[in-house]
Amino acid sequence: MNNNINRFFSRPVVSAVELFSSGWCNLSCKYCYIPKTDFLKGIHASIIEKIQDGSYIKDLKEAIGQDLESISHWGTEPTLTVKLFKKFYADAIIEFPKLTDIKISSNLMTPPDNLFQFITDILPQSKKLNISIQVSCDGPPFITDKNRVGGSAKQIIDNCLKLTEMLNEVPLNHNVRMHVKATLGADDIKLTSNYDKAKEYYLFFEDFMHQWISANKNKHIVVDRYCDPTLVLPGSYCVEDGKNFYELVLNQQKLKTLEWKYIIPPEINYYARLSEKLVYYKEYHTKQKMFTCSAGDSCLALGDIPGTFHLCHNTFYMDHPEYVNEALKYGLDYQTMEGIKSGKLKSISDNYIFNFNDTLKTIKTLYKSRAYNDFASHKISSGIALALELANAGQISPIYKDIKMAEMLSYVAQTTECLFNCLGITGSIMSGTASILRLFGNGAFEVILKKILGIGIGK
Amino acid sequence: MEFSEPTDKIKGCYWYLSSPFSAYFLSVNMKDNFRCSLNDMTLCIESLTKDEPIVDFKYINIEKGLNDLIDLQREIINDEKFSTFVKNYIYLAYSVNKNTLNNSLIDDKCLQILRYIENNLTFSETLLLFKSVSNNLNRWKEYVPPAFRLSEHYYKIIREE
Repeated sequence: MNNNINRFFSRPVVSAVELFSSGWCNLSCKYCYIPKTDFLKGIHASIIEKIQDGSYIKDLKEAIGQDLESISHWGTEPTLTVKLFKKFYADAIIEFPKLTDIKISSNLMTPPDNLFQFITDILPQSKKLNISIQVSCDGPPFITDKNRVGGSAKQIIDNCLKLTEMLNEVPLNHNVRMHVKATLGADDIKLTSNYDKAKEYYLFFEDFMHQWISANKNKHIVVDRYCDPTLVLPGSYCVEDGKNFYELVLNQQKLKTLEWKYIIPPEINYYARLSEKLVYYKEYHTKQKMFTCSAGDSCLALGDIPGTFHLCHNTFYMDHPEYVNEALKYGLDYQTMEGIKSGKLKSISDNYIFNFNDTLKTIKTLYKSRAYNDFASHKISSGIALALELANAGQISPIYKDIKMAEMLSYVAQTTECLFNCLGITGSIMSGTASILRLFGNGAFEVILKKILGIGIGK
Repeated sequence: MEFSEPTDKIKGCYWYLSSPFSAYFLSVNMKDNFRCSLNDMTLCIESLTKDEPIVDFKYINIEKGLNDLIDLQREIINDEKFSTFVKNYIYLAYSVNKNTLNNSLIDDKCLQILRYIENNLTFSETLLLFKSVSNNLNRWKEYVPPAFRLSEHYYKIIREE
């Protein structure tokens, strides 16, 4: 029986997969959306079993097959299991001829030998692959150490340098790209709304990049030089956070005028994303998938329960009710607690996780996901209504009382928000959250818009 | 020669190009074209007002702007601010052309765009516009969102169930 997911489409749509490759983490970061309960250890053990017994490769072969182009390692800390993937990748390059991209995200607080072995030995050298390594580092010790554990910032730098130096010694067939990803929560945004702290943030990365770029002697390795912060999502941002974010954005514009040698000059992370999208506004109503996250569109996530696919890695743990119950004892954030109490999280696990051997469930889930990825009207209507309501309630700038400005602001939510964030908070895949509008609607989006249009920025 | 309120019209055009409202209808390239031609027209008007010779005037930029406006007719834009911008731009382009090159093609384009903005297109112009809109829609039709094919399968499976 043909169980390939792409059989439902006139041309291959799903071409990337996120793999639940690790159920345990060596850290317990402040903003992580995965509470580290004991149940995770059981999940971790079952994942190891599936990597080794070939279940993962079998499911991928049946569900996506020859169209697979990209595999990303997700879960908690993927480097904990990378050494176990030798047979998986030996089979993968035969089964998936189009496979070219391997992505992995790490806190790099684990020994760098894991990644070194992954690149040089675990991944087959017979085929040239593009390997992307994302290193989570939130900035100077006053941010990173607070979010993770004491000494994290220094250890991450040491491990990055060690990994790069180790890779210098070996001839590589693959192309390796490494970059840092800084994530700021509401507290960190408040901190960096102060100019001196924001400057300290960028000076930290200037120094880090100087060391990292100087350490790299291998022409097959590229160290990306951007370090602008991204935001914790899902988040629960208030008006005050929006104002702080605006200050941070202004600080970035001031800092941009200084001389930076090793990092790409400070910029609002969302400026590039939005300006690229705004140019293609004409396609917004007819090619909505250009503007949405790849989750549930070109990318699906393979979970630890055999044959189970998720729309993205965000829901990896939600099909384990025991885990959700246990997580409640660990004290979750308000929104997640509310989501569990009101049954929204259960609705996600019932409606957005499917076994690809069950045709009806598969097609129902894909149908909902395509509604999100192919059509825009509902999103636009609810986005405008929400922006107008917030403007009238005084929670965002009054300029958004103008319906056209409200529509433009709502694009931010529609093009940057995570669909599971919407589901968990509003209960609807099509309705954005007030949180992200509060964050951008208190000055930050106006700066972005002025930059896109090439007008001067000022208070 | 005399130009009535050209400065206001130039300012109005620049304001629209830098305002968020223009982002709806004008792409970055289009805005660049309009800015270039406005810059050229401003210099030209200054020279004409001072009775100085016009040096290095690029009509091609005015034409590019007019062609963009003609292309935009397919989008059936109904927006007051956009209409004001178009009227201002057409006024400037028409006046500059009349006082310099006096190119009949530019004249015709200006008048056609003006008729479109004021909903006074001739019957043959309306037919041409509809033909262009129809071609545009046909091109869009070739892009089929994956949801369409999926819904056929969904319907079949539900019926079987």
